Amino acid sequence: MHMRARTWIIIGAVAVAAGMAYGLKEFNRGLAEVEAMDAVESVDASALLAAFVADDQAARAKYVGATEQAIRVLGVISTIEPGTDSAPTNVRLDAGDPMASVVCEFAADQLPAEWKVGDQVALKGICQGYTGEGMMPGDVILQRCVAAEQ
Amino acid sequence: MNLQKIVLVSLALVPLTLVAQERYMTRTGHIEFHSATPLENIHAENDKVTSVWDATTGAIEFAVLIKAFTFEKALMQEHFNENYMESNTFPKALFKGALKGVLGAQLATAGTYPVTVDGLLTIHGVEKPAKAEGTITVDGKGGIRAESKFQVKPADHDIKIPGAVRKNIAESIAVTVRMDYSKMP
Repeated sequence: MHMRARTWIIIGAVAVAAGMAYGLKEFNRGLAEVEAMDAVESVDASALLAAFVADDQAARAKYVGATEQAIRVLGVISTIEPGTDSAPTNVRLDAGDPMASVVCEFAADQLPAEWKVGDQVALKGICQGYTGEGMMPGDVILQRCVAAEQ
Repeated sequence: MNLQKIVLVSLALVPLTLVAQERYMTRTGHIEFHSATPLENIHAENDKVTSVWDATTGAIEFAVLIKAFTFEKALMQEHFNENYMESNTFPKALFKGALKGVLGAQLATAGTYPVTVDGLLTIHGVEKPAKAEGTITVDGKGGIRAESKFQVKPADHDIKIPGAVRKNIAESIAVTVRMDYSKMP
């Protein structure tokens, strides 16, 4: 009896420790690495912007998704803007509209050094939606971007 | 003057009105918020805020994609989007109002001007009156920075915090706004 109680105490202690370890790991979990994610859609920058302008809700369902997902976007770089203060670098892809583009946020260590304005590139990132509202022009926003295979 | 003439004169004045407008915008504005409690500090940033400010009329608008807020920890970001802000249903926060305290003509002179912004803030699909104080800083080289700090209460926008984590999230969230405006063509 004494032996059985001790066994249960040990099992209980191990279970509590495992639960705490899992909880701590989950609490401290960082954002998913986009590089390791499969792209659920592959789309041209112009088509991506056009989809959001035509039907924001339908485009969000397809490209943003209910939970975080990566998409692959192809386009020509129109500008590369280093972020002010602590903001990430913005790579703008030409989307055929002078007032709007597809803006891709890159961490400093993810932006390929050889990329320059005018390059045709492929990238992968988390699409967060279209910022335009009413009369305000907007952009399609991709975050945590990485270079993708052409 | 008959109605036809009034309409013609009004139409003739429209281009003059448009020329006189001084509109500024940014699509890379910065908003961050901070919730501080003894149990936990929660911080998130968004560098993709769109804002248009008409310095002639004072009209100002902001649009913020909720999912573009980034957190240090994935769990916080998931809870923020899925449980509290319901960002699939309410993807944007919006503000429409008026900025007072600086006129278009003053923007030619470098300086920092105290301003107030008064309008309607929509978060989580709930529109509430909002007022904030801030500054407009003109560097004299075409750079215009607007800054403000204010508080937002989640309860005011029907954002429900479950009892289990109520002590982890502040009743009033500190919001910091920084917009670097460029003149619209």
